[in-house]
Amino acid sequence: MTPEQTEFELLISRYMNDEAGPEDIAALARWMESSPDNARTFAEWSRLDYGLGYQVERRALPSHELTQPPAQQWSQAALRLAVAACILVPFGFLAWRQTRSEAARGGIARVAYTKNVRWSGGASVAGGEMVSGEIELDSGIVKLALRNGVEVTLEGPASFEIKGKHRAQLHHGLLAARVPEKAIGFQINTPTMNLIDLGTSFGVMVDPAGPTDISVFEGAVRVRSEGGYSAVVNEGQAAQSGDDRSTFRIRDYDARVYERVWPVALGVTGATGSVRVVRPGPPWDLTKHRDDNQLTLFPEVSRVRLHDEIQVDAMGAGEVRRGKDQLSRTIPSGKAVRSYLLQFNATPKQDRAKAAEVILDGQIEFAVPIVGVIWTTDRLKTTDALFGAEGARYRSPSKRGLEIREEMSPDKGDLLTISKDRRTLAIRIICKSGLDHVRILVDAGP
Amino acid sequence: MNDSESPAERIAEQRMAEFARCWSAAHSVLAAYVHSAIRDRHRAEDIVQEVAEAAIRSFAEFDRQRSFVGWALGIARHRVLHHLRTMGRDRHCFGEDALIAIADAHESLEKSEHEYQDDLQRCLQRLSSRSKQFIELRYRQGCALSEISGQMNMTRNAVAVAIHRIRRTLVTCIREQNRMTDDA
Repeated sequence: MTPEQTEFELLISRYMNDEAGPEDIAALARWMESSPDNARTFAEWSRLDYGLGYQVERRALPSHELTQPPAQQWSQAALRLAVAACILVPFGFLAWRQTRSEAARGGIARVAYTKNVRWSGGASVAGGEMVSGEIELDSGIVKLALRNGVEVTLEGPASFEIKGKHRAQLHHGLLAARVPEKAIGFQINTPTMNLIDLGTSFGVMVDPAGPTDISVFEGAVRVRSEGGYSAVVNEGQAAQSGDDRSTFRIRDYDARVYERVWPVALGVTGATGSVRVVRPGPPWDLTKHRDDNQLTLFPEVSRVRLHDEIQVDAMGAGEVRRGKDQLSRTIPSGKAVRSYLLQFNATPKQDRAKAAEVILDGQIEFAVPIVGVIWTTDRLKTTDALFGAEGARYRSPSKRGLEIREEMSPDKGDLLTISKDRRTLAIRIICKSGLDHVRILVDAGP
Repeated sequence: MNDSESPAERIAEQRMAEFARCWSAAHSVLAAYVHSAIRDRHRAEDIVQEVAEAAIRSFAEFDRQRSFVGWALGIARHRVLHHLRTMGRDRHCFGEDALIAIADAHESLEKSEHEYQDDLQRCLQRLSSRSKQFIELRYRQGCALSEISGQMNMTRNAVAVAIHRIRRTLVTCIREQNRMTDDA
């Protein structure tokens, strides 16, 4: 291999790492245009890059062997598509586009999380994908990531059906859903009421023996009854079906109904010890959440793509120490993250000096890896605007960060540990009075 | 076949089945081409879908004597170019000549998707577990090099070199697989 070829292969790699600058790209273009062999080298590397992304994305890279090649899956999907297309084309191309898209991506929805699941009449899930539009759940919790970005968390017993890109049906059971901006208009039907999302997160409970409940945690939804009665239900409210199914009434919602699915819907798969996840509700006034014996986890921005790189206080697995030399504490620009804020906020004390010291510990398990943790006051303050929940009220006293243990004095101070798989954060903090915050940033996908 | 179908419906059905077969064989080459030119993965997926729609609309005009991959790559090249032009001048991207060269090169890659994935599978099996870990972090978790460096306790440059070597190993391995097939 010539030095020139080596140099251009390095350029290709840089391009595939999304790190090539304009001069690199211009040099690559000139090199490819100068010879078909060079362009072929680039094509070989590109095919590998796509093949790896396609193969590895769909299933964990196995230690021994890779399973059925995607080509076979696509081939089967394509045959289904051909039949579907024959039927759908006369009715419009959009319908076909949707079917093709689902087939090409290997499923209708991805199963993002399961807990204690017992399927009813066989699993509707294979290889982390829903293989049919219907899901029957005897018990447990399942979180589905639909192709349009909608996240649905189901609690069994439940019967749920995806009927299209913008529509689903809850036959019975309980769900919590989060609908991103791009999927506004997503519709969930129940036997008595239909719901059209207006940009929000909400819960739906269909009790075959009782009324149907639609509770709005954030934003608003339009609810329409079987009888044609329609109203907008805002956050903090619930629509409950009437006896005759033709009407519904609007009341304040009861968040306790959704307490088990709500954290999962937020991407928090476990919270133990002194940690609790804040109940669903309208934008929180964090200053009003005071508890001397608990740490409260608040969801912040659900997805933000970083325009600039940001500095964090910790990002790698292991115990976090002040002054610990880490290779990198920068989340690069372009990365999409989701944010949470863990808070200790003591009740007001007449004499703060006499307040008793309390040690609070617990663990938070996330559905996706942690990419950064911020625990210093200055960084918390500077990142409030970027990661803070919309409409939430933050307090920013002179000190709100943790006093993390120093490298040289291992037994004194607060303790944070990121698990090896970076999905769990363990915390042990010494609380007395005032306010402590930790901001946790997790991976929000590509 | 349904007796109630009209001749026109039967022709449409046959054409769709033929398209599905052609698309199935060509899909990964087209997708690799589009993804190599457009690094925004979601946008690239949309473009591949647009290519499928455009191809199915024009499929009646497709000359069966020609290569379907080459024909569809022509559509893909136009879509990619259109997309890059609409993105504005500040974006870093290839020009028309480079896109033509890349499309021609993709057409010249002989292996079908099925064969290619088989080869890739064999080559991946030969990697060390540490190399697989890099692939897992980069391709499954979508980690940037700086994140991988934090996790693997290496400098960023060392990570870049490691990933580059793994890619080169795999490309070389796949070339060897091609040669073995040719010799057989």
